Amino acid sequence: MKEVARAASPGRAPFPGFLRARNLLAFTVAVVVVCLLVRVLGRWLLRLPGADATGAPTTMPLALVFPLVLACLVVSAMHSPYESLERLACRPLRLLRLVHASSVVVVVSVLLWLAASNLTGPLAALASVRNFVLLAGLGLLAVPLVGPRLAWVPPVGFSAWLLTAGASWASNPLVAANGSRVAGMVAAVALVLGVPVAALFTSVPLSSRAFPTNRREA
Amino acid sequence: MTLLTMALRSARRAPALLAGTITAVACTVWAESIVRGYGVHDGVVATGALLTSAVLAYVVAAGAGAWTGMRERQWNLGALSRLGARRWYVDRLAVVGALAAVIALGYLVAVTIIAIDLAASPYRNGRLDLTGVAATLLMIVLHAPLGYLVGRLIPRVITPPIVAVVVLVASLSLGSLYGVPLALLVPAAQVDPSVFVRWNGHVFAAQAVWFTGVVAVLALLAGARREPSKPLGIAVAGAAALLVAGAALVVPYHGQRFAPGVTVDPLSCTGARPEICVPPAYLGVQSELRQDFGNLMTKVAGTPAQSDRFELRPRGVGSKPSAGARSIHLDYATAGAAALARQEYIESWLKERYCWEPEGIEAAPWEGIVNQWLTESLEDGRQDGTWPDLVGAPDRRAVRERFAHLTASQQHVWFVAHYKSFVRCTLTAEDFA
Repeated sequence: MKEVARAASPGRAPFPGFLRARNLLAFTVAVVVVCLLVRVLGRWLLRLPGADATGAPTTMPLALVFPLVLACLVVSAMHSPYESLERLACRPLRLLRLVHASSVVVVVSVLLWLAASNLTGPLAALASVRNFVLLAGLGLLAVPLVGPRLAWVPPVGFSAWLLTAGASWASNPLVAANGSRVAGMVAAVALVLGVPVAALFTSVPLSSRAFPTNRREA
Repeated sequence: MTLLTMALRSARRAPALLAGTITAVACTVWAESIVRGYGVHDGVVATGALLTSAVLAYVVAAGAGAWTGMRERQWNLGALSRLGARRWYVDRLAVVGALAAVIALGYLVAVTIIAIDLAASPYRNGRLDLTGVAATLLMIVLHAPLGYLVGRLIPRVITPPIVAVVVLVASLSLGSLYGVPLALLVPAAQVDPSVFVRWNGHVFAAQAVWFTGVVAVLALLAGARREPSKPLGIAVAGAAALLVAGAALVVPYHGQRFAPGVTVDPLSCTGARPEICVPPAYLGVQSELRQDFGNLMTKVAGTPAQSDRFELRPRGVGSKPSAGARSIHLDYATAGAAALARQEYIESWLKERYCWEPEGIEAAPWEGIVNQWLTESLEDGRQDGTWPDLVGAPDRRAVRERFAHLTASQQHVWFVAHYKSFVRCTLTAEDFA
């Protein structure tokens, strides 16, 4: 409550309180831990169903799967326990949300790039960051629709679909090579749409359930 | 209010229904795509497709369970149940049981559709392995309380996605390691079944025992923490014994989900020569095999490559054909698969050595011309990806075109004359002069 009150009071810097409400410290620790895991386990190969064009089993480095965890973290970081009260804040929080979402995505991308820099070959750091951008963008797009608590469902579902039965090896955006323009464009579009959508449209009208009134139902 | 009434009420709630619907659709689509990818209507393949598609059901069950547990703990919904006269675990049992039951129902929809698809096929072989399906169903049901317990233990927003991702990655990665004993401790797995193998039903039963032990220990420990009692302690010890027994049963199988040995069902043969004998599941591709091998036998008539009877058999163990026959191999029975069997026959029966070895590499382009003739890709100018690109070399292209314009009988005479050079990978440009 104190954070929101501080954020809402004019003349005071609202950003620290805004970030505290989003549990920035825990988020940072989680991101660092996942990036360390990318560094240590990133080269491990995940076997996927089916075979590639040569008939060989399809595999992808785990460094390309960890971005899904990071995307879930980013989407969850949009959640605030004071969401209902924030809607009442006199200071518009959309700009804060925009700065928060975009900076979080940029920082995580940089950390992921550094963590996956030991990878070589066609599926390396760039592909890993692209997957993160794609999945984070998808999750952020879902934030206004289903809320931050459940916005992880689209990226997880999309990944599960792609990694299992959804796309052939050749057309799977999650395993596209580093330089794949199509996959890069899709990821960029998802992010460019996702960040502003999550920031600007999260404030839905207050529901009567969140703030019950004394008005009698007709 | 009975437990069943409470469970039915919980099952009608949107998250459970949504999870059940997602499970039904996702598992059906994936299992169907696997079955169609094989092109054979075989009980082992259909069961394998269902076991593989269960990965998605595990993910949904664990994720939805974790979300339910997290939500219950974060919103302190347990306070509501404490207001009633029922025991504390009745409400939880109803909520988790309903979620697990609805997801299991979704998976059963997928099982039913695949079973109907198998039964409706005119060329079917065997039936669904009910042991495997039942064990999978049990493990799907157990993933919901597993996720629920984790969600209650760590009631953070990030818990459900982490649980879902961990289950997905563990299922795809760890469960798919072959020959690794510990891999069988992960219930879900991708399996690559074949018409010629049989399931090892003991493995599924042992997996179910092990996983029941895991969930029972966790659930009982959660209960013991709340209401410590001697009977509960004994139950925890019993569940732990179940866990150890299941693990002890699973590990010695060394990651083998299939029974050792090979089973070849009675083969159905075509009447005309060359006879093509296939297991019932491959009857759909028999006429295509008959045509491709008939054309090939016309071309190789008069050479040792000719045969009047071919039997579709597994590679390796069980590949030995009956007297006077030759074995051919096919993993899939999709359209165009017969060409793969023909190419493999050429490589394995006609060739004494692989032309890409250093000793035969000089002959590879010229061998490629004959290979294209045998596989009927010479006339239409298609390039065979397994052979050098002949278009780039003018002299080779001229040879290829000259050979393509010979009459069928001239080509046959040429092949019989140069058969030994072809099988030994010693063809040269002079052979085409």
